[in-house]
Amino acid sequence: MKVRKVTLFDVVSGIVLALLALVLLVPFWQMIVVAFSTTEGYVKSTYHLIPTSFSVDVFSQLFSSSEIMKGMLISLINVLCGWLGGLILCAMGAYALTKKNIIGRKFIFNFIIFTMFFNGGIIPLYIWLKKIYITDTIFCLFLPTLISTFYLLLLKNSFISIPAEMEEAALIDGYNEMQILFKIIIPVSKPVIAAVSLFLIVQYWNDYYNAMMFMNKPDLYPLGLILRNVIISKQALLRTPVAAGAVLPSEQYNMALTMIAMLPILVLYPFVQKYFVAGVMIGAVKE
Amino acid sequence: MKKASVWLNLKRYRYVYLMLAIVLVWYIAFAYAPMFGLIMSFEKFSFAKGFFGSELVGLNNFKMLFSDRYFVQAFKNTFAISFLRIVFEFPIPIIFAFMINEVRSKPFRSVIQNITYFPHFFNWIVFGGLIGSVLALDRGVVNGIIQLFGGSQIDFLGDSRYFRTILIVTNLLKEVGWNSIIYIAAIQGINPTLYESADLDGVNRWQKIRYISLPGIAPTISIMFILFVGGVFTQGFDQVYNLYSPVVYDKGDILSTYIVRTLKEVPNLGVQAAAGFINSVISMLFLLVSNWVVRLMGQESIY
Repeated sequence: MKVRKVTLFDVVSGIVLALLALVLLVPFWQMIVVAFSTTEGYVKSTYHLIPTSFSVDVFSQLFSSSEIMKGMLISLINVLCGWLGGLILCAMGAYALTKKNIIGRKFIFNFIIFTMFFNGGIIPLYIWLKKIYITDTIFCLFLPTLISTFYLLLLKNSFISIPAEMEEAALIDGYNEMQILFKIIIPVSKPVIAAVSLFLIVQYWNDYYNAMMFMNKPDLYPLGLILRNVIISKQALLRTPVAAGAVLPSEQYNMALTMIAMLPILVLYPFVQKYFVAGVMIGAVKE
Repeated sequence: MKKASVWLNLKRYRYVYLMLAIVLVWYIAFAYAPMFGLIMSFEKFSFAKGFFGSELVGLNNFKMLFSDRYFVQAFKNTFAISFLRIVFEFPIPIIFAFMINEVRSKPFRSVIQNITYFPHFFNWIVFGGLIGSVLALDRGVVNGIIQLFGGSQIDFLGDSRYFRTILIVTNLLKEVGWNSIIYIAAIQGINPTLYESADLDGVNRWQKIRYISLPGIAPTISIMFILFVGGVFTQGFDQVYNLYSPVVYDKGDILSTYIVRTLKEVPNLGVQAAAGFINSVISMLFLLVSNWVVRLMGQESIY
């Protein structure tokens, strides 16, 4: 291949891309600088672009706060239940829908699809969850969103392309369909399972909505809701006259808490990068 | 089907039916039950009397909604913001994909891709909190730059004139990289011999984009456009709810935030359920139309 000449287009587009990356990095960088600065250091610096002081006080404060630790634990439980429960149920539904001989298959398919187009909305759901005693329990965090019809269809589209011979061989070996799903179908669908897992883990780790709507017990607040209450209530307070006398958590505290909330995703990120493309491709166009 | 063969079928696939039953129980309990609960939007709902015991009031709740200035505003805002998202948030990731694809330095490209994909994985509490400090009045970097060039401070998040612009720009910052992945993959999927023969013909880069790349990814663009339009109406709760404050309700309040906000301020469950009903019906129309167009185009629709 011949070497292309560097043109004006390359220069302009390179600058635009670099600027975009810079604009995205600045808030994250500021967060790190603020989280690690001392109170005096924070007051002295205006824009927090260059670290001038160093302290891990707020982190030790956070890690010794039972509220935060409990919140992390709740979030972890929520991730595990929402991810594994969601994945298993979606996979079971998806696999069942690949079976052509199921009675009423078309009806069941439409029954499931319909929920993608229409839902009852948050208010009836809330009333209903209250009626069946699910609000204010840990189950209200993941049960209402456990099955995502979208992921169920993704899995179904992926399972359909698995050669039928694999399954027939397993049937001859005496496996039942449930064993086939968990021992053959899921293991051979690794990329799509990995992509869906990634999306589910991120979704449940970040979630605050279910907790905000259905949970009234501060004891069972996940980290996301605690973070929202700290950060957003502060921003809202700043815009109301009440703010004058109120004691607000320090900015270092907020930023350190934000960092802690980001941590698991940061850890996960390098391992899942290779599944991004698979994840969005199966999500959008099926050919 | 004969009775015996139905029995045989049930027996042969008993494990499949078992799995299906578990899944369907979830759908009935958490998707269909709330739909029947929508009857409350025609009621003066009382929790003690329940979905089917409360007093029916006909369309009263809907009349109340449309006489509520804030609801009408949220209704209009939802359409206006959806329109802005279609105009700006849809095409810009495509342009971004072309720019990324033209970058020749592999390390530079992968650094840019990683940085721009990254914010997609955070919710708007995290990203909105960071945006809030960058746009802050006194210690915000953006206002610092404005003052450096002699301008005066702007209260970005506290002025409804800027709010919609901020919604669009910050959502683009957060999602442009992620939303470009599919187009980058599509561009790279184009048959390389097309470019090679174009090289032999001495075609320049713009012409290659115009006559090879763009037509090559046109099917992807059109399907993504339809999916985008189908989903745009229900988008944005997370972003709006975590960025706005009472001072920007007039330009920023959307139906989903209106429902949650009024639920917390003055619970009137029948009326708020009616607002949710309207929201669900409109978003269903968006989805149905977009799905219908996907089929017309001869693509196998995902639904």
